[in-house]
Amino acid sequence: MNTHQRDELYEILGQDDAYLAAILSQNKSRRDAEVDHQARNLSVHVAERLHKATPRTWYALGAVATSVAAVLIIMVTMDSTHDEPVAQVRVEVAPRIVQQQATPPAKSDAYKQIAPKRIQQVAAYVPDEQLLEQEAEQQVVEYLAFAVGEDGTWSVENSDIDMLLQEN
Amino acid sequence: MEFVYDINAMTPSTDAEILAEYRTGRRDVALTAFVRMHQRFVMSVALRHSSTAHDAEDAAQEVFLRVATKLGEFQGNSTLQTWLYRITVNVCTSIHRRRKFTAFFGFGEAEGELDVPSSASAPSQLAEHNEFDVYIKNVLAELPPKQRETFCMRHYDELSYEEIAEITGTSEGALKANYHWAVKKIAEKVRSSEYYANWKEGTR
Repeated sequence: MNTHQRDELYEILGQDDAYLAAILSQNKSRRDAEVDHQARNLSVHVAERLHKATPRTWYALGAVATSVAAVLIIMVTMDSTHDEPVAQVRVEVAPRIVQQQATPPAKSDAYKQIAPKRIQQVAAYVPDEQLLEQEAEQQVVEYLAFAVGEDGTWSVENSDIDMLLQEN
Repeated sequence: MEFVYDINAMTPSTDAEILAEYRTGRRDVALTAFVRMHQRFVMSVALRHSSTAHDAEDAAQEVFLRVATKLGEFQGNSTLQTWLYRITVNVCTSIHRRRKFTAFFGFGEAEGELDVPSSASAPSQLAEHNEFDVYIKNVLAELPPKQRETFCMRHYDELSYEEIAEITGTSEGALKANYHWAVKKIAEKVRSSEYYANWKEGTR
């Protein structure tokens, strides 16, 4: 207890009761000793707990990050499974359009395998019985011109041309 | 040529130095210095606001662990002691609530089970002093909270009225009145107790 505090205490209690002031001073000294005793290893305990707390924090953060990643993976997987039927529909729709445009007569399998689009394009006109022979020939010529690639190579075999001519 | 290595020159000794040290990255050094500087104050407040010495120790450790993560955020609007006082009281309150909760559901240690009396005196004196100290604690517990806290901060923690005013947000005049009435009430109780009569007779 500093002198200023002691003077204040004596002032309140009265000079004739210095004994009581002494009792309170002794009580304070014992309490100081108790505080010192309790606080003696505080810095050591705090340092220990601080160093223990750090890995635990990282473990907790790691666990949170892992669970978030797991949830994201599950969500992405679920999304992709939902997309699959849509993709299948698209795949199914595309050939249907081509078939409607083409509507070719029955052809051999070998004919279908060779340049299918171009054959079909021409074939769509060729079966029309109302067309004049000249127009049919013109179409064949156009087809042939079309069949010649930019590099000057043929993409149609002779059998195809024969077949076209026979049909017309 | 003699090389003098002064370890004290490397240890921050004021709050400003500790904060500067913490912000420059030497956190371990800053925190160790901080704990050593304020451990008595925190423990004293914790002992007052806890029901057992064990709880007070837990609370004091918890306070410094919280400070360790938040010291960089300290704005400096109040002193570190004021900040520490508020944290300590909050931590003690939450520990007290936790103890009540665990006691209510019947798990955890019972209240007062780990209260460890501590002092260093001869056994007979120790018993008498401890008894009187417990008596004083009970007398303090009967005081109104503001008078009790003002008396403890002034008498036990040796804080100035200016410091107590900043911590409690009360005017210095009101604090002086609180302290005055607290001392008067304690004196009245002690004078009417058997301890006072016994000790007075013993000294004659």
